[in-house]
Amino acid sequence: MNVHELVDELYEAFAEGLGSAGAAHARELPRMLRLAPVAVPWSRVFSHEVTLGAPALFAEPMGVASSLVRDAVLAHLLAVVEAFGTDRIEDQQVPATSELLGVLARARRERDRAMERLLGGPPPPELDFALAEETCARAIRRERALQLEGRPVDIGAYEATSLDKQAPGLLASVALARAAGWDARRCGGVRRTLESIALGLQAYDDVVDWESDLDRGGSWAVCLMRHVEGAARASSPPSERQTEGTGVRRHVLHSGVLSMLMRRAVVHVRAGRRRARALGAAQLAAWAGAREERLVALSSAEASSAGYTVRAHALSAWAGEVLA
Amino acid sequence: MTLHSSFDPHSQLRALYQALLSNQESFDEFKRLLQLYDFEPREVEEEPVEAAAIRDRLNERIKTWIGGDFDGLSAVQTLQWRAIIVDERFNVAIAPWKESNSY
Repeated sequence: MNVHELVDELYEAFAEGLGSAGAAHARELPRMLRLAPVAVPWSRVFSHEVTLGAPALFAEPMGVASSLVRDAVLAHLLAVVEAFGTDRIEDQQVPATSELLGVLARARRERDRAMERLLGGPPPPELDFALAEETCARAIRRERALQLEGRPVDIGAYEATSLDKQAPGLLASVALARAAGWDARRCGGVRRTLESIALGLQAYDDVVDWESDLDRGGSWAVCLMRHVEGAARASSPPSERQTEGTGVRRHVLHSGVLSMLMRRAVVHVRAGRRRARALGAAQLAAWAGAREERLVALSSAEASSAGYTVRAHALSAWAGEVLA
Repeated sequence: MTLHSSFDPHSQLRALYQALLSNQESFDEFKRLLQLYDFEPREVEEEPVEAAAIRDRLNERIKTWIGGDFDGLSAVQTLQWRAIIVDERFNVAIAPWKESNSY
């Protein structure tokens, strides 16, 4: 199954259902959210199939009808797109135009309809997108407050917040498992697989984006660095304590937090790969395996040379074109 | 990391890539000089003298980083690098690199 093609086809059908003006706005969504310079299909915005097509990657071992898979992917992709849009509006990265708000409102409605078709009725609380949205919104507010104040945060608190932000992206795959008749243990396995992969991808993103996040007001790397430095300061004599607030960038690079995040990314994606394999989701396991391999290499290089992952990301498009 | 020098343009670009990848200070200086490269081809036809001086400085620094031979970035190539590293526009056309380096 080509997941990218399925995602683009389902989104186009969603857009066409909004009438000519609405469809035009829906097709413009990647540009409106400043995820792309021009209107492009979603498959060209998010390169990882799992981001918008996660349920399709679980479908093979479930043996469900394609109509259920399509409903699950539609619900999932609209949930993720909606969450992305709401985050960008609340973060004031994009203006809350009536066109954008209109597309997001329709995305919520069609998402919920697809979920009802999938489950054959209203979803139970644990699969209710409205509740997941609240969890996600609370996490985003918590993240913003912590980052803006640059408060020390340990890795456990960081990952708890990160996980809450993923809430809307977990439900449709679990709902598909339930529709397939999977028991609670295996439905839980689907959820934990996605949680692991999401945490891994998020940790990597928080490494490569840490400087641009800081430019916008705050960054997880800084919060984690302050926690690490605080612990180091507490155990060192006053004369060796570093000055607070100076050379934040240099401190982050020297603190080892980027390397720590990369190690966590490896741990989570590896766990996701193993869980996917245990569930029989071979395509997802293969994807996670390739991702894990890349993260292991980056993590190793990051440990030897702080900032390597950011530099590799910045140079990747050029290297891919020119040095390939 | 070993940086090899060669007259082969592809090898030179690979050496530059490795230098930027392996050294934060080189990467930061590269980015800083690109930020200073003030040339908008849509507004002015010729590369301004100040921008040319920055590009010369950049090319000198690259020679230092890669340990020798480097043909130098053209104005078009410097603009491409600026788009990728400073503006973070990954979808810029890369063709000028290929054309100027014959591969």
